[in-house]
Amino acid sequence: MFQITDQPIVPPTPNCPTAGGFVTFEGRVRAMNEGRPVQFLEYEAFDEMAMAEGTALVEGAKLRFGLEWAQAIHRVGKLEIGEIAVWIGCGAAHRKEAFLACEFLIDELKHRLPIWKKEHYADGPSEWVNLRRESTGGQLTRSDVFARQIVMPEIGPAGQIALQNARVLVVGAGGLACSALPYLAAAGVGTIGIVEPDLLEPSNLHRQALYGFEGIGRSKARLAAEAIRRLHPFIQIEVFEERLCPDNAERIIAPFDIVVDGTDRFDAKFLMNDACQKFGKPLVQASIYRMEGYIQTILPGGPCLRCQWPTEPVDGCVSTCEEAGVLGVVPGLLGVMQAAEVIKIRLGIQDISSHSQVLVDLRDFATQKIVRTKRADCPSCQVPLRKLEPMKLAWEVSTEEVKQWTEQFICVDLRGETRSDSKIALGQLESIAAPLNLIDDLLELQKTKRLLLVCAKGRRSGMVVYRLLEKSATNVYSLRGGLEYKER
Amino acid sequence: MGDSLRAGVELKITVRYFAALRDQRGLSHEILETQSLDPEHIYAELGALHGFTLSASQVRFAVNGQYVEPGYALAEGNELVFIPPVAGG
Ligand SMILES: [Zn+2]
Repeated sequence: MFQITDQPIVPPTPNCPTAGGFVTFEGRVRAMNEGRPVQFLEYEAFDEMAMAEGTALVEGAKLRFGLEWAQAIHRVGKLEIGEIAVWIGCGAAHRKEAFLACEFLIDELKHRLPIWKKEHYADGPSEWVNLRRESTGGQLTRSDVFARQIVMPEIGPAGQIALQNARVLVVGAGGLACSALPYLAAAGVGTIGIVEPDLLEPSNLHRQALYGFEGIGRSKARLAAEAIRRLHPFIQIEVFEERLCPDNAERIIAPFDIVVDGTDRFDAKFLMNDACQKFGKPLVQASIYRMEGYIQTILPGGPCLRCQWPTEPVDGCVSTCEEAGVLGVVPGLLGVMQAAEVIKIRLGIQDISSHSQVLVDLRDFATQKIVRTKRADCPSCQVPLRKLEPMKLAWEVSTEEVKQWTEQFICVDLRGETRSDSKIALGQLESIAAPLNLIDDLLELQKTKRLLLVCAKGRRSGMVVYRLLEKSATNVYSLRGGLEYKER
Repeated sequence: MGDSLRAGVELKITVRYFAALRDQRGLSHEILETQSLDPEHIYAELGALHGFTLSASQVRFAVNGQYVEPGYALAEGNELVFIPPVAGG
């Protein structure tokens, strides 16, 4: 028997006359982790998947070790120091099988259950850590996961951190969301909200490829959350199993930075438009019809949806997906384009379709841009246009900032050899070349001296500092733009 | 139709249909020679001919890649797009 509970675990008393040996194991929250004092822990599980895996494991152990009795309980939610996080009990005719089975179960449960742990320290929380990953050794880092995009000049560590700090709300968990969500999550958007009251239906599956038929009848918002949480542990998901309506729109939308419209209702689209204008949030809209669709980004200050449609179209004036039909790849494509818009907005890449609507026809791949214009008398978008500032990082410094430093520092030259130009430029204590064990050696060195990492263009040094900060370095900086940087 | 229809004036316009209107017309685009001089009247003319279910007030118009008002004065060779509301997701 396997159980997941959000209540304190009360160890069960086995009642099984055929078992002569009982072994129990209790995993408790300890006060220290990797030398840091823990305040409390949080566990989060994909309930259904964890239940299926856990039950299969316990039943498998009974068969494998010939147990007479077996039970495992995993706690979720907030746990204080000393509380039981996991409890395992195995009863067999003789003690040997009970010992073996108990050890087997705790190892396998840790290894296989889709359960995440977050440690809260005095100086703030850690990331969600997948127990499965932890048990296979070595924590997954952001640089491991996002390396191929951090290396892009448009992103870099600053862009990745901007994505990590982003809070994106996806309204609707249908066809558009099914392709927007996994790409937003995969790109490292730190917090994703999903608003969807509906349960999965068989007729959703042809275009909502995030789901599987085993999910039919379950909450789509939860299924979507489970699906994207599998990508990596650097994500927080907030699920709203409710329909966006005038009573909840502002409450749901207010805490997010960017909103993605994946709904199929005009009233919801206008609600989002008005709330996003009110709170100054970009809204990325798309809609589809059979083999066509459009995408547009509405920025605070307009032109907005009411500039486009002074009279709100009523639901039912045109056919929905249900009546008209839709080819699954159409929302698939448009949803991915929405994810691209969100990422560009967050990175401050200006070329977003903020003043136009892009019509897409999948029959011939024709796209058409239609320029939208603001209406002077629009009741919705009278807030001033907000300019999106690019992310600035405290650990990326200019030569001018370095010259103001009073603390002595060592210049680490990542260009492969140390040249005299960096010394002349920056006036540091000494210059060294990149050490052999780059990350480990620099982590040690920064404990005694401030380090300024330099390279030709500032990209490699930025990447290395990003990695060092992930490993809890505190006194490392990167020269912005590199040694070849010229003021423009 | 007043000013929108001037005797003897005829414009050659490319009309493009989006989404439901494309289905109702059965074409993605066509070249039209018309005496109607603004989007609203061309739409009404075509709507009567092909049985569009949406009225002109329920549709938006774009000319040469820009949204325009229903009464916009069209010129020879303009490309006019009819955009109905689309809500599928
Ligand atoms: Zn407006």
